[in-house]
Amino acid sequence: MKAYRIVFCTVAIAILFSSLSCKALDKLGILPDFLDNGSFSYLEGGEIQDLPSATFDNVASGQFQDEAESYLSGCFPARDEVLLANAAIQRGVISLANYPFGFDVYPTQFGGTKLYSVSAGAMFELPTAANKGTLEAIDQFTQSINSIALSHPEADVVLFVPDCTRVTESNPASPLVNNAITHSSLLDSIREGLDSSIDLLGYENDGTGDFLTNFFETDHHWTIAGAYKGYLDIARTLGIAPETPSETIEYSYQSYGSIARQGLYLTGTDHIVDYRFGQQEYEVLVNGEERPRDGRQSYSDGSIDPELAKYQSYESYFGGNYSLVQYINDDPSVHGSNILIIGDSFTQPVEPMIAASYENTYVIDPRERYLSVGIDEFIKDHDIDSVVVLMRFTTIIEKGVAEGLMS
Amino acid sequence: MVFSSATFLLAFFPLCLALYFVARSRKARNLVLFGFSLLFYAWGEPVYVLLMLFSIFINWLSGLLVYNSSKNKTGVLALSLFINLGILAFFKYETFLATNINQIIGVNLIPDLQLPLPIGISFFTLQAVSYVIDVYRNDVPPQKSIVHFGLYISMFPQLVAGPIVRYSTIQEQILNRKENLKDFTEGMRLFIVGLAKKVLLANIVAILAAKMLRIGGENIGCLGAWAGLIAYTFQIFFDFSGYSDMAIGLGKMFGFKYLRNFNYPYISKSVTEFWRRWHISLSSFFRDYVYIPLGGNRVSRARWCFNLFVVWGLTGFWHGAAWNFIGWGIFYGILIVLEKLWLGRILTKLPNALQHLYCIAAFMFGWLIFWIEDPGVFLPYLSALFGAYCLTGSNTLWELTAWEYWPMLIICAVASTPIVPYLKARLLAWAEGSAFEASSFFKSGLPGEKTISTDGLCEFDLQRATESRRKVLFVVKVAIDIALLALLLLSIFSVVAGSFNPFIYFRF
Repeated sequence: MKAYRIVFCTVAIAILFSSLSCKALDKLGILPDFLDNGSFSYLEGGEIQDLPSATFDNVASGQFQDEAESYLSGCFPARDEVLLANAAIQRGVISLANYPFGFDVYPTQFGGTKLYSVSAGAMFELPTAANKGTLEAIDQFTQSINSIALSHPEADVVLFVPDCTRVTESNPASPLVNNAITHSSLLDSIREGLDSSIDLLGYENDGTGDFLTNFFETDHHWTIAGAYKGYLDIARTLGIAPETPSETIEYSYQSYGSIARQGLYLTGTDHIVDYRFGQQEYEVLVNGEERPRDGRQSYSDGSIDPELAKYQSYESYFGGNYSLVQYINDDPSVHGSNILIIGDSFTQPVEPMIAASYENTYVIDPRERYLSVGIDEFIKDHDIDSVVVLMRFTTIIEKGVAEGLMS
Repeated sequence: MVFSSATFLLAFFPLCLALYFVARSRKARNLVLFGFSLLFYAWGEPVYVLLMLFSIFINWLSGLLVYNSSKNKTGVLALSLFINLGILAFFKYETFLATNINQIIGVNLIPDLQLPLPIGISFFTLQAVSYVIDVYRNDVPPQKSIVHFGLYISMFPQLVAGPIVRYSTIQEQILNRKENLKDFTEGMRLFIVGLAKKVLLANIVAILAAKMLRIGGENIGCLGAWAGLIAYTFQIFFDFSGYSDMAIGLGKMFGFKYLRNFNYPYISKSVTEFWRRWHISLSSFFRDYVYIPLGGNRVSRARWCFNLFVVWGLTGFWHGAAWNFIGWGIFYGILIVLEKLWLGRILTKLPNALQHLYCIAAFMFGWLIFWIEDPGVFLPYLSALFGAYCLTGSNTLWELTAWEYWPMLIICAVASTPIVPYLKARLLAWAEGSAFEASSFFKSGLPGEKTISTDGLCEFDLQRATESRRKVLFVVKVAIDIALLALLLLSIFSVVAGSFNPFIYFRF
């Protein structure tokens, strides 16, 4: 019995010592790869906390303790697998609970906002119910767009609001939420207060199947097909000749998008498909520096980090979010025309398409964490002919965006 | 620091165990425990650890002075009580008193200092008070070593959420306890059970409870309101009893034997019984240090009622500086008086099921008062319980998400009953070849109300089994231990994943 107790206690204590012992083995360089978390969690999309150093101030404020908590969680062996296992158990219980109710769609974790649709085999986000705060935020956003148009009557202003997982009626959860904001109701709300000089665009998807053609199954972004459809609407409204794809490129990297990662349910996979448009060669400045805006080259030459391709395919392929991106097109036929695109990550696949019709295409991200220029000044200083505002619902209602647009 | 954190589980606890058992002498081990206890407290309260040290010093000194002075014994006790309760009143009740007094007199006479509440102050103050009173009563000798006294007050297992440990319970153990593998194993098992209760049950149903409260009665309707209240009822039980199990288990690993703090309260048939099973260390503290000194029940009926209301008012107020806590205490005071006067006699004549139902309704309504501090939220929630906002309020059934939790609520309901001691008793009876007396599921295998020591629920005495059935018993034992280790892993997974992990003792 003594030996039995020793075994039980040893196993329990070994579990408790797992983080510290893995860290020690890592320092000695003998930690097996499958237990090693590295320094970056692709699943969570962030750096793993380093060992914090204590100072009087950060201990007194509790910051040190918070960082130590993150550090120790980050040291736990095979942490990403642990997160997925924990979520899988919760999902198993929810799936069991759903059995007598037979809902087609259910959250992937308790209290979670990422949903799995059984019939579609795809992930969606929880639709948003209309409430006072949301409607006020939409109204504030509309007034900001009006302010841009009214301050710059010389520029064409186009507002494109893409259908997206949070508002699309193609989301199987949409009919399950009382008073959910839909794409059409969102457009109606915006249209109500929008100045008549502004063109409001945004195509509807025709059912879940259509939506999953235009949007990724595991990510909140649109696919190149969805983006191209949006681009055609924008080009038509701006009166520019739309580019026609000459080739479709398909990459075999299987990827898990933002909804799957955040919902901790790696079911189904997406992969990158892109269109090639004849000769699209631009000089690109990212925050003033000449460098590639996207990862197309690294995908085509196979140098892309497989973990990035697996967990952050949209961002790593189409490019990340920056304060300011500039495309310079030296095609003489577009000389002297300038366009400003204001938007979130949805603009990324559309930018090079639009850039084909302008000498200068500027892209500004109006979210507080990126915005570094005053938009009003920028339009004046850069002789902008057209402004395209392109952002999804969550960016529209994000705190600080409306204020940023008026800056 | 809380037990259900990566810092505690993956660093503090294993390191503390290692250093503790590396130290050979009792003195060194006590020093390790005292040092780790101070670190445990300072981790969450870097400034207030000084307040705890002050409290340790004052009460250690008070104990010595009370014991050594023959003339001013009562004076020293009074001064000590004044300081202890003064500290508690200042840090815990200042805002409440200032707000209410200023409101009554219509002038901002008392400044509202909005002091953050030192975590666990209510627990360590009661422990300190009980020690000084026990010394005054000559029930225990004073502790001469400030380190040993500090260890009694600050022992990290029970520091944040109890149980409230009497000095008399552990005075011998501080110097003469004997750690052994059997206790260590039992302690580890109990710790794992407590951790799983907190992390895998309480934290999950807490998501539902918190959501229903946040959305409010108008929006969740009858179904949401009941689901939320049921979820909160289980959350508070598994959170609190889980913490107590962890504390008792930790204590056991270090050789301390704490008394049981929860004894399946949700199977009670009356409120009186409920309070003999819920937070036993608090009930017995108020019984021994307030109710009996006031005269207990050996007084006139009016005085006896007064005594009960004082005790229950204080019990409520101890739980938090807000009117709803006082109301909650008085609610129980009223029920207990009624039960003692006539309701109890009626109840005993009812079928068992109805008695249980009465008690469940009583403590669930009690939790509603306890849970919701704001009357503006309380009233719509109460109305929703009685159907004022239809079945699901302004939400759809799907949107309410209550349906997701029914398996968890069933697990909680089953785990609230003595199913484990019942099954254990059945198994042992079978293994021993003796007849199982299944007089009542609710009584099987339970420790008697007066023997509230923690028994080894997961420990089987294989020697008592017949030869042929010993192997089966051993297999069951191994299976249980494997399940416990799996629960430990799952609990750590949940903690590492950063799942919802509310701390409900910030008011205590």
